[in-house]
Amino acid sequence: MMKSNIPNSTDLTCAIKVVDLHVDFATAGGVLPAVRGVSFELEQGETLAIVGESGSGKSVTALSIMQLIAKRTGRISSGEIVFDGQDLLQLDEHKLREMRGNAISMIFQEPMSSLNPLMKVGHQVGEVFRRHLKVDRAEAKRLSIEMLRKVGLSAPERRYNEFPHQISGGMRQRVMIAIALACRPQLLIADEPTTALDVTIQGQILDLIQDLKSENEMSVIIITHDLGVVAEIVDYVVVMYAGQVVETGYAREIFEQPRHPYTKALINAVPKLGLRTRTKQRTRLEEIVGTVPNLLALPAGCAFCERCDYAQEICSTSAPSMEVVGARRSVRCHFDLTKKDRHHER
Amino acid sequence: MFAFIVRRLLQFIPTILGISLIMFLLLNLIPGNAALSSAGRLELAPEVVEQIKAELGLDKPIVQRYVQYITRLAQGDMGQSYLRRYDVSEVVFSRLGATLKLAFAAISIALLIGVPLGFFAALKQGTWMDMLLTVVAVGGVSIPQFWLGILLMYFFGFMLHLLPTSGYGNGSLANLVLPALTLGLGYTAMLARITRAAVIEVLTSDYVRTARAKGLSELAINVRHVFRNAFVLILTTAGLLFGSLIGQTVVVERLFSWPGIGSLVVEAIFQRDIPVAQGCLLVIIFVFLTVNLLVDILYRAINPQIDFE
Ligand SMILES: Nc1ncnc2c1ncn2[C@@H]1O[C@H](COP(=O)(O)OP(=O)(O)OP(=O)(O)O)[C@@H](O)[C@H]1O
Ligand code: SF4
Ligand SMILES: [Mg+2]
Repeated sequence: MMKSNIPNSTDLTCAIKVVDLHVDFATAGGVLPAVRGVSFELEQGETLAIVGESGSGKSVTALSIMQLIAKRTGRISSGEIVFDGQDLLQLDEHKLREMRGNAISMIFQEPMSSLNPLMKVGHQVGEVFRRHLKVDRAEAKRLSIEMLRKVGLSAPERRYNEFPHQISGGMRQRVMIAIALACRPQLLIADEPTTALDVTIQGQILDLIQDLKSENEMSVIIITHDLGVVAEIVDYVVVMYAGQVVETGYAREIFEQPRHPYTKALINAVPKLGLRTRTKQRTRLEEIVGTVPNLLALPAGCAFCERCDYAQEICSTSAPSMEVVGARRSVRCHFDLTKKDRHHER
Repeated sequence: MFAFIVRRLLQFIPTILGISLIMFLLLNLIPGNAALSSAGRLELAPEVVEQIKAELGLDKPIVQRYVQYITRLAQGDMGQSYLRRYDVSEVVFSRLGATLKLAFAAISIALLIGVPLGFFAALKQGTWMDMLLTVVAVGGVSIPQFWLGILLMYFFGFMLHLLPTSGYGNGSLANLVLPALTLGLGYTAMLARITRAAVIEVLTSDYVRTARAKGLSELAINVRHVFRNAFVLILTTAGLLFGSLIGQTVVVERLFSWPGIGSLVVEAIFQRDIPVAQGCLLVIIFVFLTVNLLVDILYRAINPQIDFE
């Protein structure tokens, strides 16, 4: 099938390595391949952005790392997720629970519903300390208040006793961050941490993640469908389309010279890339004409074919594979956009 | 909390007034009257009938009678039975205990069996155990109470001679078993289905995913995150359910000759003993409202999103 772009190294600087990950869901319409051979590698201390439109498989990829895919319908059918020298997919449930919320943490897309509505927010933070540090109640409380202060909640002693519905969306996301960072994880996965929030709050939350990142020496995977929002803070970018990675590379290189037509379209959809766009969601990716293909009935050729300005005959019959085109840079397209741009007449 | 309860109790008054008016009209407009019933099947001279009516106050216009009824009710006086010359409030309240005992037993059965079964089915969703429970529960919901009661009587009473099938038996537990099961099993099945649906909903929620992402054990997730949230969902439905259960006591009491308000009201209606019927119905409604209030208080107590304001 596809060629892996990952060099076969057990590099000590590697934070996490995902190799040829496949995830399927059983749906009424048949088996839905949500993730189709995703590979990428993240260095220690880096911030990686997974970018792509809605439905491209970003969350499923992230949930696979945590192994929180809904068991009843979803299945990781193959692949490897190497973290700390071991394949997470081979770990037993007990070891996974040791790891979750401890070595690897995740912040979710929906701050409104991601906290238990019946539990004081302080207890929801404290639970992590109790679980992983095995501390007593009093100590968990002290640590939780400390953590709430760290993520920027005013009057954390009072907030500790409040319920989620009593605090704003931005504050809830801060609480989620407190939960995620409580045990100083090596890897933080933030799945669209700001999408549901106010534009002014978005910047604050990203700044907070950045600050805590440098303080804790962790690596970060940040998922977004809005490149503009994360442009300033990411080192490395993985672009996903219809369950596949279509381009990877250092952020600067990707923004300066996208090599995949889809990446290019994504970047064009963001007006002032490089500045964090604090304007409202005008910068959404809907501006790319057409819709993502139905994963239950994928085209035989390139999945982007129908929407691609550069498509040629071969694109509709043969699916391109991932080609390494530079240092940690690879692209999935039959053509080299940098050259093609000159000849192309459209 | 206290203010909330007082306010809700005050709301009982207009509710009871409204219901009592409708009830009064209906009961006083049904054909046949107690004057004739109380006279038995004797052929009475019209003057005698008139005299009995006058004694019972039935010769006055209905509006005047209603006003008088309400005024007395406010003083705790539900009037006299037409037939037996006893105090309605006295006899109604003497029967209340048996009804409450039956209802409480049935609700306990429903809660103690239905909720754990539903929880178990949800955790085992899609397995043969879940399917088996679902089939049994659907059966339990659909079986008519009357039929279930007769079946239970037949097996445990006539065939196995294990349990008494009728009467109060001076309050012995054995006499309670069959009526309580008859009243409770249908609700057990309903509650199991409600619980299953609620737990499944909670299990797919974002906050349970968060709990998983924290690395908590399945037990901690279920106890701290799933159960409480599911219970809030269950209570919203269970309130209505228990209200209707109070109404169903009438059928079951009749079937098992259980000396509660339910059997009294049926008797009273057949005999056109209107004050007794009215008294019984009022008390049943009062119990119904109280059960709903208790469920509401419980709901608010475990759900911080609703404050008592
Ligand atoms: N539990 C599930 N059952 C069935 N299909 C699912 C499930 N979860 C995800 N999918 C499908 O997998 C595909 C990828 O979903 P995913 O949530 O990863 O998208 P995403 O890139 O995160 O999009 P968004 O930006 O909207 O969050 C979608 O087509 C989605 O419908
Ligand atoms: S393979 Fe063809 S259709 Fe696909 S992205 Fe490249 S040019 Fe476009
Ligand atoms: Mg997503």
